[in-house]
Amino acid sequence: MSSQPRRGVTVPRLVLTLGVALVAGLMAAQVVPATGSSSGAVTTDPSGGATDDPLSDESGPIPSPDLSPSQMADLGAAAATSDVIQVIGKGSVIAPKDALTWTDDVPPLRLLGAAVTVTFNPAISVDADLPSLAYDESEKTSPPYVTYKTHVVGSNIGSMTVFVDMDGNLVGIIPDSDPNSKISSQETVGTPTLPTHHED
Amino acid sequence: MSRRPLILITAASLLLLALAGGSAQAHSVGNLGYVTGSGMNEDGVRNYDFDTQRVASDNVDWPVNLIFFDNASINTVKADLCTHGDLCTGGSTKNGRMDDEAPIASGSGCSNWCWDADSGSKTYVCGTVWGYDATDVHYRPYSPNPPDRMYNTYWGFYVFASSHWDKHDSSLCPGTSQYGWNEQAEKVIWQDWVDWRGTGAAWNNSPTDGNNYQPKHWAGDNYWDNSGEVTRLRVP
Repeated sequence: MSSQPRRGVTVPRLVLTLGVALVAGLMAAQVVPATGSSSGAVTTDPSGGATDDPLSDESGPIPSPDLSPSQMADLGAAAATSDVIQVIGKGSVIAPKDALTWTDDVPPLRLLGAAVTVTFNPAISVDADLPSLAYDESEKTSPPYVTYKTHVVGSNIGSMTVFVDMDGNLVGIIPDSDPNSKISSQETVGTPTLPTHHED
Repeated sequence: MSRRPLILITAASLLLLALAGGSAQAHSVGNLGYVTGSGMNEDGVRNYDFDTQRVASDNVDWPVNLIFFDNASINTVKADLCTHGDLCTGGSTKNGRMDDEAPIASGSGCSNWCWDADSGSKTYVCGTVWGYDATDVHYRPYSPNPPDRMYNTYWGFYVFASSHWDKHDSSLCPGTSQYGWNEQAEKVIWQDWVDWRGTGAAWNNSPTDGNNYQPKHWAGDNYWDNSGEVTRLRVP
């Protein structure tokens, strides 16, 4: 009598204990880097992380060209002194805050120009046709963008992003790059043929 | 009674997707590789997601910059960020690539690298983010499917994700379409998590390195800015 309850309890516990040990052992065999996976040794970065994807980089790294400091300065000045910016910013102090490299996106990457943050102090109001650009992501044309006009109405605009090409020509303006600005409308002027818009 | 709003929301989402464009153009980078660091242990994660299921530096979409860990799965993360961050609208499908070396623990069959495709979730496509109009936050989480989560002894059950902003990504909010702002998207989601779960469940750095630093620059209509740090968000 006394052994029955013990067997009734002990055997399941033993099975459970062995099962847990087996699972733990299998998990340990899977998660300890030194033992690797069932498919073979895992190549890891010394600091951790497998780096042995059997699919290698088909194209190889894509180097990206940079503007030189003097090009940044020149293109920043070109953006700030462009006719369009001088007209809409009349009465404000206009200054280039920074100029970032602007390249295309299909290798081999080429410099397209600069994206310049131009500041207005005090902030300006705008009701004007401004140059815009629509980027052609297929990059089958040169340059890979279409320029057109957008009628912009807005106020409290402290800065804009101005795109200039490598010759310093203004090719497009993003009027709403200042989070404090109030842009009440942006309407395309006319019916230009623009590249297909891609959701990203 | 409760079905009508759901149908309306679904119809609205489909309309927004229809108004948005088709498949996106892949991007090119110079540092395609892996997420590494002590937290990764024996697992592997590619440090960018891909436009299609082809590993190539000229076929990437955006950098991996988020890890949801402890008890995460794709479904729990999506449900949480929809409820607590308004990231509820679907986007276009991209592809993450990973290697889960503890398939017994996670239940996955991905012990020698596999793909996962996910459209992710975004905020309203013509919404306002940090004062920027016509902007949405979009993230895409990945892990082997099934079971939609990975496992290792450091992170527990985890998924990783890329994130970015879209601007003027619909004809409903006309203007120059622009994409990127990866660091800013990462911070928005980090802030959503802090607001909901507190600072004890969200860190904007980790022992895991994305190896995907991108200095501020423009490529085409994309603004790149990514620190390479991986934000970690705990799912209890």
